[in-house]
Amino acid sequence: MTKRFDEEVRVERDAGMPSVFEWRGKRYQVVDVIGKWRIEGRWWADGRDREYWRVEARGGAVWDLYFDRQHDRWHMERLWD
Amino acid sequence: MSFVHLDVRSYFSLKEGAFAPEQLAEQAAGLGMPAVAMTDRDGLYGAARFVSGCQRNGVKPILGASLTVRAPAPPPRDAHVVLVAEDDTGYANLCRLLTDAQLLGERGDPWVAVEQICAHAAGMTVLLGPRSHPGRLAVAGRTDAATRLAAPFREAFGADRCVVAVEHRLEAGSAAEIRTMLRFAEKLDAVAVATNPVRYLTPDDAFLADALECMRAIVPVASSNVSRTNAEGWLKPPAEMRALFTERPDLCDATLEVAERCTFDLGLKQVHFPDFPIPGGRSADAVLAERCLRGVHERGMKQDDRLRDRLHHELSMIRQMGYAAYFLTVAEIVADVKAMGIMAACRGSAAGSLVCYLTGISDVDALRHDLAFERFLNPMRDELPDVDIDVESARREDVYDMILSRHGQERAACVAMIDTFRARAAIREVGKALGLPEVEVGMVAKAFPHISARNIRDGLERLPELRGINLPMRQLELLFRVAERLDGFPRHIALHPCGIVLSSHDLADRVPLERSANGHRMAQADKDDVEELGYLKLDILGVRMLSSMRHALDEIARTTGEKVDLDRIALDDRPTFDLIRASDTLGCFQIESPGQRELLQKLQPDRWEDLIVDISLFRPGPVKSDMIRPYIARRMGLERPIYIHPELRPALQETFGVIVFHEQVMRTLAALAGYELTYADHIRRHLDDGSMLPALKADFLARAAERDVDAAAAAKTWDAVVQFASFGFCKAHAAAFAVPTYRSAWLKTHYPAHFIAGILTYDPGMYPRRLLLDDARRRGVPILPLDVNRSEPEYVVEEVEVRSGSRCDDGADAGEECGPRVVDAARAPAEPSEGEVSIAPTAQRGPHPDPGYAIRLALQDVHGISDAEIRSILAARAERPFRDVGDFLRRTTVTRPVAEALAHAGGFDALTGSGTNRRGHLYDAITVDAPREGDQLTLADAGAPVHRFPEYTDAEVVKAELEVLGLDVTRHLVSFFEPLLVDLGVMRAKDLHRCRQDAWVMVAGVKIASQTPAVRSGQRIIFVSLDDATGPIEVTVFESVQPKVAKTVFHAYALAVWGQLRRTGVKGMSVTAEDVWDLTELHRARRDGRLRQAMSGPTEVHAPARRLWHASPGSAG
Repeated sequence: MTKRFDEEVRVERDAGMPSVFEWRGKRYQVVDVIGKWRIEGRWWADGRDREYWRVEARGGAVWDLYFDRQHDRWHMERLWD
Repeated sequence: MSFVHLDVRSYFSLKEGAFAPEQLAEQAAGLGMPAVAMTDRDGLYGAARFVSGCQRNGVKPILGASLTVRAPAPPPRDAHVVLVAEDDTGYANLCRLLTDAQLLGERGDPWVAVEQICAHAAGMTVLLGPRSHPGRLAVAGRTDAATRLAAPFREAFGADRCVVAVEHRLEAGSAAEIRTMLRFAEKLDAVAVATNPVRYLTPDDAFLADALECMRAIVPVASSNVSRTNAEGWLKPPAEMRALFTERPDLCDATLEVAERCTFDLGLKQVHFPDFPIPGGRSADAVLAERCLRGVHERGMKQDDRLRDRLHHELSMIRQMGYAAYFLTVAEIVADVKAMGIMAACRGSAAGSLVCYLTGISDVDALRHDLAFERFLNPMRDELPDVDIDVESARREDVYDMILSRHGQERAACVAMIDTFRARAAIREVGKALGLPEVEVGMVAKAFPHISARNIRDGLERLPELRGINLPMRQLELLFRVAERLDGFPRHIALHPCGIVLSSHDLADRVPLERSANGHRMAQADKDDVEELGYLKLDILGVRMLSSMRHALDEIARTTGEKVDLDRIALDDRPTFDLIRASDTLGCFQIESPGQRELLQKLQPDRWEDLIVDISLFRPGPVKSDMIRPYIARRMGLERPIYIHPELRPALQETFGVIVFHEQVMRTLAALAGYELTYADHIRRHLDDGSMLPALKADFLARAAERDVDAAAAAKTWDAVVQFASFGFCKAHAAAFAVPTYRSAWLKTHYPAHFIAGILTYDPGMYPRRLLLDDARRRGVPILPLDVNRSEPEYVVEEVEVRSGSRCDDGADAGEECGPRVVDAARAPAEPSEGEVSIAPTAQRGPHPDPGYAIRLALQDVHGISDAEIRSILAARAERPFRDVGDFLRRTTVTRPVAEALAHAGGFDALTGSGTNRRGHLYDAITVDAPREGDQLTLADAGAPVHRFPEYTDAEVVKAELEVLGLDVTRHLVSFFEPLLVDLGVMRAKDLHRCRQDAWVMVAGVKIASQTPAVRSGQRIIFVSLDDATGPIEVTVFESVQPKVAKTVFHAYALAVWGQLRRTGVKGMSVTAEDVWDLTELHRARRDGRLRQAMSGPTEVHAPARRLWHASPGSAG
């Protein structure tokens, strides 16, 4: 099932790709990058610019993380487990 | 690690792409790409600019287009495929497909069917991307259906040339999309290439694409209306493209293979001469020579050595440059135009060619006027020559239709004009897209360019008109950010006002054609593109004066039976030159402005050649540089002609040593340095180029020295040439202009009523109609009132019986002669109107009275009347004349407000049988219950008792005329004020020239124009033109007196002005205002016996005004 969040997370990158992230005090190891996309626009409103990563973490759950390029921070948006 | 973009839309994909073709070329070069495609939506508008940009930047251009494909069966949605041209055949196919897309459907909705594309597949590669019909199915997972739909493409284009375009737009679903597209390619057995839908050059410009998209759809900029989710649609560098497709480098390699195949060369700058059908085995040169010899005979010219040499010279240059077919084509077009009964005249440097004269292209004898052919055609010129033909403005579209149908789409089309966004328009349109209130945005737009994106905040505070404007600052900043970038973007493709491309049969193979708003076939190329593409063009300009003269000739033929042939009138007609010398030239072509009329008075032209000089001299350059004074002094014999060197005499003696014409510049250089005229023209065209000047000068001096010309004289000559070159005028052009100038003056001299009817109808000049009417009145041409049974759509001439003797008694007369009565008439009951000749000539003191003819006012100028209404009036009265207003309303489709206007302006006054007067007609027009024909007649209409209404007073009559027609017809407005003007001691315009400089004068008149231009000093100056029935008076109001008088100056329609006379050079005289009054207020005050108080004002005592009563108009001198 899928759950939506929008919480800040800490992410470590390796060769540009997320390798480890830390959510609610727990560390997750990325085992596979499933997809990458960007959302940018809405300049007439908030002007968001996000780099999304869909990753599989050790244990089999799939996570959508995004890097908020405007504010230079990571968020966790969605979790399939 | 290279990559070629194959799906790129520039700003010629209107309101989609966000960059110019040249910028694309530059960016591609900067990113090290070997080639780049431009594939705009349904067009190749930017092709020439793109190719030349690529050539400058060393990138190979690939020309293509994104075609709208419409599926016949549901879903009926449009899709797009990209086609790129590989070779000549492919480009021709692409052009023809685009032409079909544009011409077969509705304008503005181009599309093609799959079958059309497949039938024209040769020489092209097709790209089926995710926005094509098959691509959409593939993305939806229906690979088999997609493959079936793509089968025709696969078959027509073959395995190599039917390409599946795979995009990685970095969207959430991109990975899946790529997988499905690759599966589709495999199934179709087609090559796949990597593409990116490029709409902007850098990610930062994505916002422009959003704004454009919303402006195109006319929806507000909002998430729901913007289709892109990220900023990936830019011209990504090869490395980034490769990075997106790391798993399939072959997709990127394939783009290079496609690019490799595209070898098509647009061939810019190679001249494509038009075709002319030549009888078997003969050359165009031979046919042209034969036509010229025939022309010598037809023009009645003497075949002497001079003619033979000149003709030989021109023909050999034409042969050398390959222009014979162009001349033949243009000559044929001009002959066709004339055969349609349409006046045509050649303007510009082409008139300097004897060949043009002999083939009937121009009516100016280049030999007689000693015009230089090299000024027109010259191997050293880097631009293609074009011929400009003036035709009657009212028939211009007919001429277009004739040329386009006669020469067919293979050979002829109109030139397009790219209408671009100006910042102000962009602000308005972007404002709408951002959902900002229109009124406020309009105010901000007006303030541009005083504010820009960088200083909006500051501007809003600084500019008083924007204070308190209620727009959120952030939105305003966005607005400006977008609008400033849009400045210069194409907005829509319009028809060029005059250009026509003439080509050989290959036009449709090199330029797509579309339809202009009014249905003309138009090339997807503007005039610069046409030149780049190497096509010759012909400019057809609509000239109102020609329509005016045509109307005059038609009216002469209709009323007198005479057929005047303007080609055959005497060119030295005394009375015509008398009129010109008296500067009685209001309404005449080129010589009607106040400045021109003053020049005419000084110049006193008495032959045709003088008109050529006059037209050449009357321009800002010569006026400012004082070329006019020495010319006039020498011409009048007050000074001796001066030639810097005796060898210059032949070139300059016609203008007494003053350099007036371009041709003289060329001949002066040739005379001292021995240049060929071709080279002399080359120098002339570069005399304003500071970087070339030193070398040109050195060469000139060296060559002059070789020919033993005195060094000082040579240097002095060079200086004179450089000084005057920029002011010089093309003599051929002036000579061509002199033709309609002379003809219009001739018509005005001999047929004033007919001529003025023509210029009233077509309004060709600078003066308002009421001034032309006044001119007619002054020369004794009666003006007949509006009459629903007699007035035509145009101003027409009617024969009238003119009663001689005093016309002062009939109360409707205008009147300087019976001045005092007239103003009183505003209160006195007027006498009954008497129809036909109630409006009689003021006085017959015009120099050329034409008592037999009058001008009938036209229906076209009735306020609010439509063409359909006019047609219904003509149709109804053709059956039988109108009896009364009810009859009129029943039998026409004229709306009630227009019928009221007609009644108000006296259009029913002549219906004497109706038993009522104008006020009665107006009452009827408002109240009569008028069922249209076929309806049951109501009782009220049958025999209603006739009211007696009071007559219109004279003042009411003129007021009504102004309201309905915008003309004071019966009399000049000023005539109402005559007694007042006498009391004020007003100096009339016609007498002003007798006053000395700085004299204090009182002037008065109806305001005809006022201007407040920005003046460099920052002072605001108001310029007002008054008309006092004897001529115009210019008044200048400086800032110092504005607090006192500005309100009056702006709000009153008639003014009295007290001020000082200043002479202002060639432009004549102007009165510097000291005080200004509203003439109607003074009129009222005079009636009440308090004129003196009214002039002094409530508090201030006005010293000069008091002395007025004693100032006699004749005292100055």
